[in-house]
Amino acid sequence: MKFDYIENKIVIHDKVISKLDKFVLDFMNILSKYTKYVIVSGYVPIFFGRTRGTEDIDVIIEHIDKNTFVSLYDALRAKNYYFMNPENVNGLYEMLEQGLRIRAAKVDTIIPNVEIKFLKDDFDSYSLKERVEVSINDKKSLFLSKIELEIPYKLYLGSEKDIEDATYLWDIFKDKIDINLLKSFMKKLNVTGKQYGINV
Amino acid sequence: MELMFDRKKNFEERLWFIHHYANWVKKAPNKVWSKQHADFIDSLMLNAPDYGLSSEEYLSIKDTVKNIRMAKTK
Repeated sequence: MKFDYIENKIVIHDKVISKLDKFVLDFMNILSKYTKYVIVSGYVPIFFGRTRGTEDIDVIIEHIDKNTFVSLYDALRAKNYYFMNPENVNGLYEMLEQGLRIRAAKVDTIIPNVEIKFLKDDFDSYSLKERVEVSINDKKSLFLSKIELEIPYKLYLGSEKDIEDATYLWDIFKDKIDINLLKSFMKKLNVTGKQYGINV
Repeated sequence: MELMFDRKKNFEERLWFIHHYANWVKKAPNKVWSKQHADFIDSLMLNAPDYGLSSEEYLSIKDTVKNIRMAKTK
């Protein structure tokens, strides 16, 4: 894998785009017109080659007002997406305001779907503020969570799947990331990775 | 009959494979690893339209899983 990772930008060329990548790119293209977003959790290692499936793409967005959300809702509906939650547009916005997550998918499908929430804590704020722009084949871009936070957060979540994700990201990025920053997040989340080969 | 399944060993073997696979990905040209990866992901996506649950059933399961997970991380 050849890519450049400089500060908050990753540039990758010659990546063959999967159907999942295409789904994510299409959705984020719409979402980005209405709010700032960052993709976190499982899709991040999958984007960089981890061989596992996922049902959902986890996305944190900046707070938006109700009118903007209604516009986003209409734009998604116009592009053949629907919200899986039974609430109407007002109810969906209330859910976001209450710190809950809402899910959107293509009409007549369940998988894959995008799970959206408003940012709600310091880690979310950091993820959004320090999001990494990934330039793909000089054509499209996605915003992903910073790897230095993603690895400790996955270790914190702690399931076997999450630990495998953290291990994979470490193996791919260990020569390119800010190890001190990684250590600081590991300390804040009180996690270690030596037992899995994450030697920092 | 008692089922013999060593979960710890199984996890260690999966971690070994992840290290092994990541090392291959790091060395392989982007066109090569990402083509194989896209073929794999696309094959999983083929089954997506046949998902047997309604959105209500799916959301209910996700809520249950989330609650279990939150209880474990507390």
